[in-house]
Amino acid sequence: MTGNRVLIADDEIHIIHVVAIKLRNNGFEVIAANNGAEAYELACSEHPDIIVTDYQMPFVTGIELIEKLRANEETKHTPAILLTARSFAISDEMQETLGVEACLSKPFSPKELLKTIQDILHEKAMALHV
Amino acid sequence: MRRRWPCMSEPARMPDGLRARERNGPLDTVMQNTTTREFTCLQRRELERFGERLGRFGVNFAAVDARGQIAVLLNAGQFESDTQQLLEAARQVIEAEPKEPDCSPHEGVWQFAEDHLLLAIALRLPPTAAGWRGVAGTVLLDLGRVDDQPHPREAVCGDESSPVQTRMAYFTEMLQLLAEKFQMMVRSDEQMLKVGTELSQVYEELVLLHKISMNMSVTESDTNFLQLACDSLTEIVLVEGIAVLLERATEGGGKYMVAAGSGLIDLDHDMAAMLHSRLAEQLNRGQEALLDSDVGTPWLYEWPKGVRNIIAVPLYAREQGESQSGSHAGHGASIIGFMVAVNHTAKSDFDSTDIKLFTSVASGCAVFIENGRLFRDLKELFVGSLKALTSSIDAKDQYTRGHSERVALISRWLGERLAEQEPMDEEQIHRLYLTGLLHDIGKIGVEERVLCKNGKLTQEEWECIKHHPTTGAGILRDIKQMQDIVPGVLCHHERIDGKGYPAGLKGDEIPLEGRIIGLADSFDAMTSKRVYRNALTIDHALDQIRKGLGTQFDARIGEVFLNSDIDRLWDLIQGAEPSMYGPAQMADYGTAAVGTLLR
Repeated sequence: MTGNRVLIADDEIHIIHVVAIKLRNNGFEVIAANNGAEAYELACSEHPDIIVTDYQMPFVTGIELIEKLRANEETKHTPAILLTARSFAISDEMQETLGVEACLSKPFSPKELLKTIQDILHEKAMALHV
Repeated sequence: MRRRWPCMSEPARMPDGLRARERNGPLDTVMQNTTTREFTCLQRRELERFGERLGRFGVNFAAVDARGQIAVLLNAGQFESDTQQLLEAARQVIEAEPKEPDCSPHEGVWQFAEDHLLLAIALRLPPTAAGWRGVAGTVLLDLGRVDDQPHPREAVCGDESSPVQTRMAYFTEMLQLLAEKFQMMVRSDEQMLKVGTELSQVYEELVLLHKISMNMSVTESDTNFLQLACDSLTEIVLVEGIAVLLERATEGGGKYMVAAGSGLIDLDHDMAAMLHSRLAEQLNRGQEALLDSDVGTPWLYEWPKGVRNIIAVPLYAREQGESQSGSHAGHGASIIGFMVAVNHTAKSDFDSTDIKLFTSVASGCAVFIENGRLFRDLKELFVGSLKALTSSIDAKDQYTRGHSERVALISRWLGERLAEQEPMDEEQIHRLYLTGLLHDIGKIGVEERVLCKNGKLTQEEWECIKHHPTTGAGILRDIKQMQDIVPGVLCHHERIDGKGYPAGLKGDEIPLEGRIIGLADSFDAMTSKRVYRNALTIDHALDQIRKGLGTQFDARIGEVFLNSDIDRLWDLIQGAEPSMYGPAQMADYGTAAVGTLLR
């Protein structure tokens, strides 16, 4: 599969562990960042095919990260998945405005995240094909 | 700090001299891909780091993977390596490695001295209990052209104390160390992967249990919840079939019925009864679950054909007054059902982790069922207490006996009919029932003398009667759980034309509940006897309602009521208080004016 580089941004290291293992075992390349600022830097330098970001992170939050990514011509179209706390419900409109492809509430199933990523990348590949 | 774990899928190109890389990633746990037989990122990174250090001694470093492709080639800058010679040397090294698990491999470091002087060693995978596992690739050191070596021939077979010989011994030792280190690395990688996979599985389980506990707070039906539990469980434990069976009280003792399930599982009554007795037997022996297969030990029991392995865990509930069968000593709890799964497809047998997971899910299910039962009990108690309270008010006047409950039933009936046309949830309909039940609670403050008076009321008495909606609302307003029914109680005597009381609200100013209760109250009042008049016939009452549409009653609600199946409604409210409507009592009282109907 082309386009298999995933950037994951989360300040909780165990989340990165679990996600990285699941994704790597399924043939993805994983780049990780501990906070939003680092994630933005990596998104610009490493050109990931998809970005998975936590909502709550120090310095730059997930929302701010996505806003920054959307404002940048280079990362404007990179699909993004937002991980949120259960108590924080994000509305469909908000998801639309932000340009977030999917939203998973924590604790999420790694399997479900993998499937979501695969679906989004597949859809994107199909769209490019047409 | 920056973290990245790049993974190159193409063979490395020849680098221009040594490169310092600042990659560090503790999380790289991918194993050598056995299908493509490439080095993993971490392995390649380690090899590169090693090569960079050897490069300081002016030698070129190369690593060839198991496919025979160059994965790492580091040029120290003093001479160019001949890739063909490197590949050929690597091929020879790998070919000399045993192909069968039980052969012992060639030990040590190889020397090649065709054009360049090369040292090579096979990078072996750590052997497992099953034996030899083959190689991951070859590492080669290029010491330069044979002709350029100080004394190449002597170096190979000569004086051990010469500087050339020392140099060779040094590199040989380094390669052996590298090969050992590589094995250790692969082994720890494999352990890491195993731990990682287990972690991932634990995470899935955590999510499952979280999902189950989150759904517990929602007022979901037992069946839906149990189905969710089964479906979620099969997502992370690969089984052919799973089911939850619950005890249903039937004639001749308890029987277990399938409440939810998925996959292929054949459960008739006999199998269910058998499962129950075997599970109970295992529990009595101190086991947590019934676990059976012929893996390791012979079958404990005989099972129907097709069962390769099976697990069953109990659903416990607190011991009830009317004790059910299957009481489990020591727990103070009884089995209300069990969860069973057959044929694990990913493993040959269920194990202790499965018991733990199934037990957790089953106890979640049991708690849910128990909570549901307690919730229903509580609700019953609540409504029962309200009924007792309101019927004591109705009883102040013998003619209004059962009135509140009938109004409650009619209001609910109306709510159900309205729900067929517009969105109205079950909660709202139940609220209508409660409002109907409590609509006259304010009459608690009206003297019996006034309520039961046979004859014209004085202005003062009439004012007193008219005060009951406000009194009722005032009583209920202070009870937190009753807030929602206050508007209906307060406004059940308002009229669409604004001529009602207490506030004289018009049309839509009157809350929907008020309009519904008002209609229900009137219908029951008209069709019941009063001290001052006899009951009207149903048709007569319906006529009165028809006449009052748009003035006394909301036209839309009235239409819905008039178009509904009144006979069925009548049966319903008759059932609530049958003795009140005996035809023999009908003639005892004279007719009264409809105008005083709403007393």
